[in-house]
Amino acid sequence: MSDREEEAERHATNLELFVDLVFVFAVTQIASSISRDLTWSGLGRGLLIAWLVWWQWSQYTWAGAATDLQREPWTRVLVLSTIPATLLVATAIPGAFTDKGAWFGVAFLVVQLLVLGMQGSMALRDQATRSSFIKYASVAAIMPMVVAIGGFLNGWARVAAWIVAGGLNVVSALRGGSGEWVINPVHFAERHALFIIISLGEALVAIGAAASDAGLGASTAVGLGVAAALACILWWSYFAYIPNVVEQQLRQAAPAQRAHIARNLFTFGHFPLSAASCSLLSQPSTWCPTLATRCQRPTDGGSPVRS
Amino acid sequence: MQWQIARYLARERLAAIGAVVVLCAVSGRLVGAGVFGMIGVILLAVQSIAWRRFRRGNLSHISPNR
Repeated sequence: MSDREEEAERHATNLELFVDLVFVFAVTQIASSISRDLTWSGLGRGLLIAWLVWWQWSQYTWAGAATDLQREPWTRVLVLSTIPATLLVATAIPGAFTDKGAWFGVAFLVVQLLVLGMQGSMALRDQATRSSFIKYASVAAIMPMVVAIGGFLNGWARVAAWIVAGGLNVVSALRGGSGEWVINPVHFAERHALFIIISLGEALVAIGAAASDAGLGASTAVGLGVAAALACILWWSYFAYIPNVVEQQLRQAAPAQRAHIARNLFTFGHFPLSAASCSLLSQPSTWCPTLATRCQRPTDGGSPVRS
Repeated sequence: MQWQIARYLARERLAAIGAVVVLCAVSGRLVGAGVFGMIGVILLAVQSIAWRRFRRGNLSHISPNR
């Protein structure tokens, strides 16, 4: 098999799937954080963390789209070495807006710099991708520092710092996405489809856990059925043809245009899909009447507490 | 995504977005499972239209699904 044919058929590796398991936990943490504070500000804080975590996952995916991270020992070791810090990021999510926020910020910084370094060590070797990476990294390297600094701030200052960091993600992508990157269309589309599966999988776990928590009864069974049916419709809406179409768009694009499409259709385009499906279905008290009656909202404006 | 690929937004999608916004606005007076069910019906209807259009379009060969 030629290099070109081999490249065309490259799929997600076991190493990437292993890293994804950490992100499964992160998605669970985000969903439960939103679920514990069903207010507009709670939703906003949850989506802000979701955007930062999505960016972290995207960084792995862009690195993996350029080269097989599992093939070389040094990339295997580097990816594996990011897992403890990534797990720390996920673990710190529920306390990200409390006095434990520094844990989230510092762990986030460590992971981002490691992955950015790994991405750079590949992109800088290639004349075609060097300038794109420098444009991207000049802003992308600042972003995790802002997240880390924000972790040491309090209240709205932290929120503001993390909103700025989220904005820097967009700026770095707009700067870097206009140049050339090595992107394997099959691999890139497959990785994003897998993240949609993670989001819908988290939704199914939340639905099942909530029904189990509420205790089986006719109303719980109806609520569970409706929520699970909605998850199935969301699956169908995406997987009927969207992965094939977006992969085709990438495949047909000229190398210089590929990063532009990857950024808009995948990195920007898939975040609302996964965030919305996960946020919508991970609110069991909204569809499960038994849980809804067991949820009490304290009068001091704090988070709802399940009795 | 549809805008990125085809530079148009299907009317049924815009109608569905409007319907879900209205549904969310009145959701406080409805049963939660009912709201979820209605969102599901709206999504199913939109998806059925989109799927039929896709099958008739020039991109239909891309997907092996029937």
